Amino acid sequence: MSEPLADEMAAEVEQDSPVHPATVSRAEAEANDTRSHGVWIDAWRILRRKPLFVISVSVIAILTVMAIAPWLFASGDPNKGDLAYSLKPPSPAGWFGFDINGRNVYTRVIYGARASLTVGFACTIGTALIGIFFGSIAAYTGGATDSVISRIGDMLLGIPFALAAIIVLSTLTTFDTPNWQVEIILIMTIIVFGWPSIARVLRSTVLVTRNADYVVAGQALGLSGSRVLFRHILPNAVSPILVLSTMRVGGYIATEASLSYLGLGLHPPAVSWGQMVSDGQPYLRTAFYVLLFPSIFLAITILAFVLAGEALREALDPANRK
Amino acid sequence: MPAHPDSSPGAPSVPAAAGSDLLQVRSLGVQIRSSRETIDIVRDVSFDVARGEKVAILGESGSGKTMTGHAIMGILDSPPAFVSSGTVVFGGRDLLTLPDQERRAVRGKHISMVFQDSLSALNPVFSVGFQIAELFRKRGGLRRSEATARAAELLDLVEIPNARKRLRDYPHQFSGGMRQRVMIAMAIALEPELLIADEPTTALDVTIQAQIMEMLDRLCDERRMGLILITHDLGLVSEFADKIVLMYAGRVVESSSAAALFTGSAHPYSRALLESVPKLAHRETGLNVIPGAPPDPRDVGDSCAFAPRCPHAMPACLAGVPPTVEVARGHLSACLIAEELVARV
Amino acid sequence: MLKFAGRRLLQFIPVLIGATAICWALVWALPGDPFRGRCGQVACSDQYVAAMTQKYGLDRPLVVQYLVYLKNLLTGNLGQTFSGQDISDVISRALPVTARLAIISIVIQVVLAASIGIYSGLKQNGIVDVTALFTSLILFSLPIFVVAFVAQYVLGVKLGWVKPTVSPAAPTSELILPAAVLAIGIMATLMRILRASVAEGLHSDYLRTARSKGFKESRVVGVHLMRNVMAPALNVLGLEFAALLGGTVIVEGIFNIKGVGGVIYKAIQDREQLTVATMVTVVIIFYLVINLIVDIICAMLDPRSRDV
Repeated sequence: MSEPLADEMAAEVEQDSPVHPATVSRAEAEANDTRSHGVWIDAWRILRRKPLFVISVSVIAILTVMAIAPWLFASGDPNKGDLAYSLKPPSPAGWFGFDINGRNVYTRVIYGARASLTVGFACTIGTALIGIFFGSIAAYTGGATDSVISRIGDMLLGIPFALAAIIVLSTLTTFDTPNWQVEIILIMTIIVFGWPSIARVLRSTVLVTRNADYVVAGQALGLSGSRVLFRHILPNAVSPILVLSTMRVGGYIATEASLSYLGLGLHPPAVSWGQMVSDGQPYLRTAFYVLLFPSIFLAITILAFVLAGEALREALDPANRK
Repeated sequence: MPAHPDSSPGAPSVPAAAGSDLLQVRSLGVQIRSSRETIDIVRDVSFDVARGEKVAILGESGSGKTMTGHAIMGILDSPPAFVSSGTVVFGGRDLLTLPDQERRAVRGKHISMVFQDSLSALNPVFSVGFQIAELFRKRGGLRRSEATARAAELLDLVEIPNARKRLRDYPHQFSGGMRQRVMIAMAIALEPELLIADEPTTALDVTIQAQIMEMLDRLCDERRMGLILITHDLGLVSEFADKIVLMYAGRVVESSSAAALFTGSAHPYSRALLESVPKLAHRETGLNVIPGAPPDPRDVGDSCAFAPRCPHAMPACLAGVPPTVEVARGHLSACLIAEELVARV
Repeated sequence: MLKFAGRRLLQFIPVLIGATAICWALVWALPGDPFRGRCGQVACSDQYVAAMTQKYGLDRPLVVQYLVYLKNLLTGNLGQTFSGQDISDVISRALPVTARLAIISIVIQVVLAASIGIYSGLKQNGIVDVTALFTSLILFSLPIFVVAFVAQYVLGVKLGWVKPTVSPAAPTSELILPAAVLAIGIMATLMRILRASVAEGLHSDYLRTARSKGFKESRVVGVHLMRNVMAPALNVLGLEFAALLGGTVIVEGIFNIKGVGGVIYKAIQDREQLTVATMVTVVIIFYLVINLIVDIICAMLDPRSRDV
């Protein structure tokens, strides 16, 4: 299980100082307005040209489609097996071979995308939303609210989300627990233990930019508080969070896979790559393809998110812009 | 006595007599080379510094003055910057042709430098005492305890209160002015003959500026240290410099004693600079700004770089680089009408 | 420095209490039967339930329950496994093994990541740099259980270079492969941080000052730059330690190492919820303490963080 908390640190390094210089006139303040949107336009232009980014996003897109509509990629029921085909190697009948129950590995791999991607996206979006919410409250209201939120965040941060997930899942679930419940519990656990690092990044970004010259200038010009918040502060804060979030998706997916591997995550009839690997372990010597293909897909999925995150980070890095 | 790297036979023989030349820079050129292009950012710069003399290299940003300083010190960021031509003679030897080890031996001990941004120039993770003492330990052959004692003395010398205690503090715990004093302490630690100060006071408050400059002035006088003051501040130059080397777009356009520059300069650029200093008399007439802006180093060719902005420009100015003429003893100018300007007064 | 350590310790205590409270809540305050499975396939007898209720104070208000729990935790009374062994005994036997595994893993990580990372940072875009970056990304993306049993299979079974599973005594030589597997994903991150720190630091002004003092390049980079690189690297190591601990569950499980992770692994397989929860809580406490120590060491290395 991986915990790319170190990437939070890297993201913190990135959001050093605001890119914008001090402004005086209204015209300059307006120009700054467009410039903060220009960050995204610049980034997009850079990203569009990076082959690694294009490839990884395409892979993610394909996997997403696979997760939503697996029937587009594979016909048949992933859970129906014909014992006559048990452990047969890859052939035109089954491109990835068959597992011990005679189930088509290819079909199962395709259907397995759903588990990983659902967890990945749900956790990322969840932690981001809640993190941004609490982070901005903490930063903007300050005082006691800030202390409370930060303290709670610290306590939650002290517990690695993978370990927390082990406790929660082993306590709350059994073989009989419906899969949808397992999934929700897993996602909630990760969100609960994952939001503090996002909140921390947002809070420090807001605190840094709040005192930046261009924000003060904006306020001096009479721009309202919320306008300042939305047009000036948040865009600056969003990019490190975006970078941080994309870098953690890989970790969430790996965590789900590991938990399924351990037997704590999803169980049949749901299909999960981690579970497939665990099922296939005894047949490593005789029918390695049962393990190989889910592992490859796991690796490719995580790699795609990691590469996309890297590309995003480089594109949003102010040092890369003229 | 431990054998010491600087007591080798190759160590520079530094002139002892007052007024004699410490440093002679001749036709120094610095280029920035990339895979796409080569840009000359310092061209044909020549000047001398005598023992105990304070020479100001004056110029706006982009004039090449900092690069000149770095080239003399030998700390150019290579790549992409390279010395393309010229000689820098110190103690009878051309520093540019010295092998690495001997060049290094000169740095810190005979020529040292004070940088502009003291916060980034000091290592944030080492105490101030460590950073001063390491000079004595590594270049001076002293033991740790002696080195620390000397460091404390130096902090005292640069008027940092509570020196002994502050040795253990870190750069971020000092104010800007104090940090600059620490940098100066580091620079004079090994008693160099020449100190190069690159915009030492630009980042400081005006009152602190005065204190620091006065201290530098005093230290140079006491130790008969040559000083190269790299700055854009006319006021600083008028108060502290003996000689001024005025640079524009990478070339020296005028070099003379400070008095001569202020009373009768021989180059349109210097005149324009002096006139642009705001005076109360300008209340009615408005500020005298030099129209235009300094050229991009890539656009400077074989002509007078100031011509586009010069009120006296002639076709001849664009025909080639104006030769340097000596309008008076020790007063050089690179302008075709230098002598007329001086005659006009 | 001491002031900082004191302050950090003070901050640590509420976090410790909070974290253990959360762990406690996750087991005892959530819906579900914590005694499930204790008595085999059938529901536990009333006697058993009554005894447990007495022991853990389950009929008292939540706060009291928590305090009882805390007291038990502090006195080392961690309850028993389903087979009746004292969990504290199990831990004290298993901990040294895991500790050795972790240390070997950290050594491997640091040595490899430092040498490759620093070298890549100094010579950017060279062949080492590009290869290392590429390889580290791939290794980082492979889930640890895949790496574990592939390594086990290829090196242990197919090639026979090492024993596929570790013998009960767990001698250090046999721990090297599992430690390497543990190290792989983390090494990637460490290496990249080191590379970035070195690459960025090479352009720092303070290096220019060090050169202007006439020091050899070896001192400029080796002393002045390295000191600045160590703090962020150590910080990362501390953060990634969580991943290390999580990984031990899988690696010790696969290689049959009788360490804390292995016990947790088996307890998960056996569905011994309470054992799992208790042991993971202990691991979390351990992680918090290590983090505290790392923070303090980092502050020693980078004085700027002391005033935060």
